[in-house]
Amino acid sequence: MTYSMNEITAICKRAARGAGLSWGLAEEAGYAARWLACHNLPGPEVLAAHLSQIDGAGYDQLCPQDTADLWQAKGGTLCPLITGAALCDLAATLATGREVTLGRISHPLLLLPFVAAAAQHQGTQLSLTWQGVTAEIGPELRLAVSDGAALTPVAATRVRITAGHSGAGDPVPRKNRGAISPEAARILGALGHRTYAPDTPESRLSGAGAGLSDND
Amino acid sequence: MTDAQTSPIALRDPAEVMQLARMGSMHQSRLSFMRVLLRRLAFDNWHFTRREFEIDARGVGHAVYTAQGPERSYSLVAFAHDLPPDQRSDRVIATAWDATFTLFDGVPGADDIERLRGNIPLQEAGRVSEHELSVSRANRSVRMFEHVVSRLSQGQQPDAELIDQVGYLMRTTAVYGSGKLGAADREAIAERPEFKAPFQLEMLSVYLTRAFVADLVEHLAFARAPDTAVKMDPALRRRFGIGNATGLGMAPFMINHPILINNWVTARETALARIRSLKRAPPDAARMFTNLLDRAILNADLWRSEHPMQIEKLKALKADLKLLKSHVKTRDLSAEDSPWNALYLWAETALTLEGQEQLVSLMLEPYSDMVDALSASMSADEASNFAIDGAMHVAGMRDILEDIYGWALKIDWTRKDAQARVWYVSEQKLEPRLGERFEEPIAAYEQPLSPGRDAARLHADLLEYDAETPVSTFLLAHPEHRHILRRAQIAAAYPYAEIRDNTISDRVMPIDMLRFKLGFFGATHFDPRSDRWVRITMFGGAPYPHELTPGNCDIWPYPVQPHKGSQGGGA
Repeated sequence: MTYSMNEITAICKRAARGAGLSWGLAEEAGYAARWLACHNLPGPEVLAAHLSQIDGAGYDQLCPQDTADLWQAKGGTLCPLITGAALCDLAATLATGREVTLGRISHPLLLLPFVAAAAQHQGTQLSLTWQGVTAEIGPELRLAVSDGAALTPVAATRVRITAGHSGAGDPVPRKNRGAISPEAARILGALGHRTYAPDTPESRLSGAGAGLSDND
Repeated sequence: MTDAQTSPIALRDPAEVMQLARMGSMHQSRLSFMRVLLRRLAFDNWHFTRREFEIDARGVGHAVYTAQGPERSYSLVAFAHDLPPDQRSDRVIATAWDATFTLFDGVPGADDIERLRGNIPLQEAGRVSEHELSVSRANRSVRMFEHVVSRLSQGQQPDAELIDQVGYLMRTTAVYGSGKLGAADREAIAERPEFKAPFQLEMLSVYLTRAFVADLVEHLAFARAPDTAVKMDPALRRRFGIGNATGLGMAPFMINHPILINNWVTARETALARIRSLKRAPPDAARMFTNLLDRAILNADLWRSEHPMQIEKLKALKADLKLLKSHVKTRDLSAEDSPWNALYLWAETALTLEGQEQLVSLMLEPYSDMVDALSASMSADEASNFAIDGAMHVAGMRDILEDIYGWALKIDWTRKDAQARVWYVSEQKLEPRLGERFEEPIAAYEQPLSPGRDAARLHADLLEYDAETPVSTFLLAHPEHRHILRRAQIAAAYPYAEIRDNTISDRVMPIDMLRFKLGFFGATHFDPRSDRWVRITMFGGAPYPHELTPGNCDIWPYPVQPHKGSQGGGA
């Protein structure tokens, strides 16, 4: 079974909200999972793993303490959604050549969509590297990967984001349809379910405003 | 014609246009998506065939209707069911329907039909693929449906007055597109010329559904009494639209697609500004306007509702149109300078919002050459403006908020009436609902659908920061403002993106949002069932696919007096 990209966005946004992220960051999570799925990368799966990991953690433990040269989280491991959104917010300074180094960060694959958004916002090319992976992002994504597992580590100890590109790596083609593994779908669905209000007889009757017979 | 020649009159102020009371007075126009669709189908010479119609005497089976265009074809696959009355509900929470549909991309094979038969009747509980573009369902208007089958089976025509009262044989209760339930994403098909304007595939699906339903009643009449049954008189047949029952789901859609909404309104406002800017009105344009004004009066007479608010609005509309007609009689539009602008300015002082917006739609009618091409600019790529401009300073952000959300900054948000309501999603079939914040335990589930309140909160927190601070710094400390800050930046770039009203007050009427969107679809006879639930008619008066020509594809939404000729006369 395949999923539409709009489904992936909606499922992942709801799950991120259910895991406790703000609505704005949940929107970013939906965007990120979709972008990865569009590039045939396991966005929903990595997001599911990451959200399971941060479920219940406070924002202040996961966010960069400051955005000077080395970004680090108070809790020890940066959240790639919060960090990615912050990187994208600094798109203008990244484009002017400022380099950013991230300390320990969970699921670095989730950073790619944010660096892509920053590159697109500035009409420039940016590179992102962690152990075994170099991603070059401009109008297209090029990936150089040492081995398959290098793309989806549970965490990376150091990630660098720099302006420019070398042309290394292979271009990644885009897709219209995505996949979500059954296990990831279960995790994302359970997190998303937390955003739904329990059904009550009162809300069923009044909440959507009906109650008249439809046999007319 | 260039804008420089024709647009000295400015577009109307978003602060005026995007108020809920005015949005809730929307009328269909030349730019409505149903009309855009039928013009394209007629002028591009689309062909329609009923490829399959395997329905038994109880009305159970399936049918396939194919629309063949210049480059591609699309097929409505319909499944008809025998539904017990106790299961008939227009709500999202229903689990069975009189008929279920999908629009297939191309012509389905037998294996496709079987796959769809296992999924489409289940609706949300089923699954479709990238070969399907929409999923929808419809329920009978029981009294109308039985009346027509019964009359036709006895060799008689249905009662014209009853047709005008109800307006349709079946009403759709959801039309899902754009990737829902696994269907193709809009982005995958948005570049096809036939889908450039918004909601074209959904409207095509509904248009073919109307043809199927009219065929179905005739089929059942002949099945009931093969010796006496007759087909429907074509003029009566055309009076039937397809109904639609729409609930709260449309309201979140509008708030979640700000650029799309901006583009719809910008097209309509640009058209209005162009017409108001005309120095002269040729006699044939003035004649067409007065002719359609009479037909709009008839439309208002045929428009029925039992909802107290809509009864008042209809009363006002009828009075407005009467006043407009007598006013127009005192003038000679084709002899005046800038006649349309003068008429519009008069209406601003003399008519209610209902009458003003009906006049706007009527003024566009004579000018297909200046209006219709604007439909190509009504789609949007919401993703294109997703990234926040983090380099913007706090001062710039505050200016935006004070400009666009000034009305919200004046509201005392500590008052209970200001935020009496909560938009939330129920776990039962994910139905969008509106609840009472201070009476139900739902605030924890609130959806971000109150831009005014959220903008006021953002503004208050921004005051704690230096004017020169980039918003990137602010957002790192305040992730809870991220969605509204993004939205405000979008609203700054797209003037009609934001609703300038409180969407969670104790007085909010969600049906205002529904009417706005349905008006852009081209719906008529807006009939609220409550403050959050509405029935409408779509394609009422339109020619059926086999009748469609460039001559009758355009001004069909305005009814004509039966004795003056058939419905849906040419432009």
